[in-house]
Amino acid sequence: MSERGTASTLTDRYVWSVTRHLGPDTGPDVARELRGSIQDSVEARIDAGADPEHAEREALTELGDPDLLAREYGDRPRYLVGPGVYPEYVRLLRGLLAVLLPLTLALTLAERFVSASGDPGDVVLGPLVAAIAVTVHVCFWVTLVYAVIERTRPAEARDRPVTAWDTGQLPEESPGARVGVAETLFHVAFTALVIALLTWQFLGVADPARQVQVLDPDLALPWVVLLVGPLVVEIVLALAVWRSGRWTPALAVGHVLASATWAIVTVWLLLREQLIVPDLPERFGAVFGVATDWSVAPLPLAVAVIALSVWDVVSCLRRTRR
Amino acid sequence: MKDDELLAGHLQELRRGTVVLACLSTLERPHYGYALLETLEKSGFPVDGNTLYPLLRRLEKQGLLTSEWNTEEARPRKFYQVSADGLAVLERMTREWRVLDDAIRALGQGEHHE
Repeated sequence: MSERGTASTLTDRYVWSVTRHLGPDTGPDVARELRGSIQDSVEARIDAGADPEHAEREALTELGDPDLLAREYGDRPRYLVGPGVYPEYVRLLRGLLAVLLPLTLALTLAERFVSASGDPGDVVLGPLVAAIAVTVHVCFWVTLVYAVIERTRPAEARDRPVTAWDTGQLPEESPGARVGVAETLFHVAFTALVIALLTWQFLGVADPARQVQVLDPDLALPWVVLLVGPLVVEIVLALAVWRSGRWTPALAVGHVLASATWAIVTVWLLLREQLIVPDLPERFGAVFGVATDWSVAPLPLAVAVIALSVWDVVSCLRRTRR
Repeated sequence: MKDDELLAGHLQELRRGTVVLACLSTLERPHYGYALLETLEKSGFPVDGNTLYPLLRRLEKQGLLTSEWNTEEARPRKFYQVSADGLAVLERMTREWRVLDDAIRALGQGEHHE
């Protein structure tokens, strides 16, 4: 009798472990049935010659981890985000981060420059902290939304994505895609505009009362050539890329060199305060009739130039690798 | 060794979908859980209890099985049997099984002739 007592305790504990998280509508019924099934299994083993305690242990071991069995009985998904919606989940995460991260960086950088604390460490650290916070928030909330979706929709729908896929969602660029006319035109036009602005500024504005002289027209000619030259090279390269249909390694190297040269020269001149006219606030004030109690901060401008160039080089290299 | 595991995985995958067919087929006559387990095993279709018992509940919830507690004997047992819907599904699945079998045969023979 006492032997039977301990044996039934094992079964009791097992059945309780399986059914404790099931609802009141199914729990007792599952418990009753499961207990019967276990006893059937134990009896079959005893009939085959096993000793009772050993038989019970074996029967329960065969059924395995009660938590796993409990999840088989429950109809909740056994994962946070399942394979049916995982691609959408990743796409949404990527899409949000791709927009929000640059935006956060740009806004916080701008805010630091406006508040002009001038501490370079603070300028770098602030945006970095903001970017990490945005990433954590986006990941958490998107995951939460998808986990809730997984748990609220009917079990039969779980293998399917939430939104139907169509061909419109295909990425616009594929590895074989040619560099398009529009893209090339935009690039060439934009660079040409910058060249025109530089030339206009370095030749000296015609009417200082109505046009602002931002760049220093007294800059030595070799520097001017080093600033305009790389841009001309970039236009030539952009046309070459359009002709060959893609970024070849040679064209990419040329672009990177031109871009780097331009950035280095610009940053060098900015930091030595040779690029921008020293009395820009006064000139600005004279043209627009506003107060002149501000000064040009070369460091943030240099950081911006470097950031732009790095982005340009990285995107060029990525497109070459495709 | 690795090939054995690979084969076991593929065989398990192949059997997984047929458990429902085997259950519905056997439950044209009423069975309780452990009896069904034994019947299936004797017919060369071994299924683990931790797969079968929850599956019976799911099929019942889907309306393919009906159940009834039998309390006349010493131990109360829950007997399952296919419902009208279950019979229709069983018929459709059996037909699909035959079609698949024929298709696999045809594929094998086609390869043989070439």
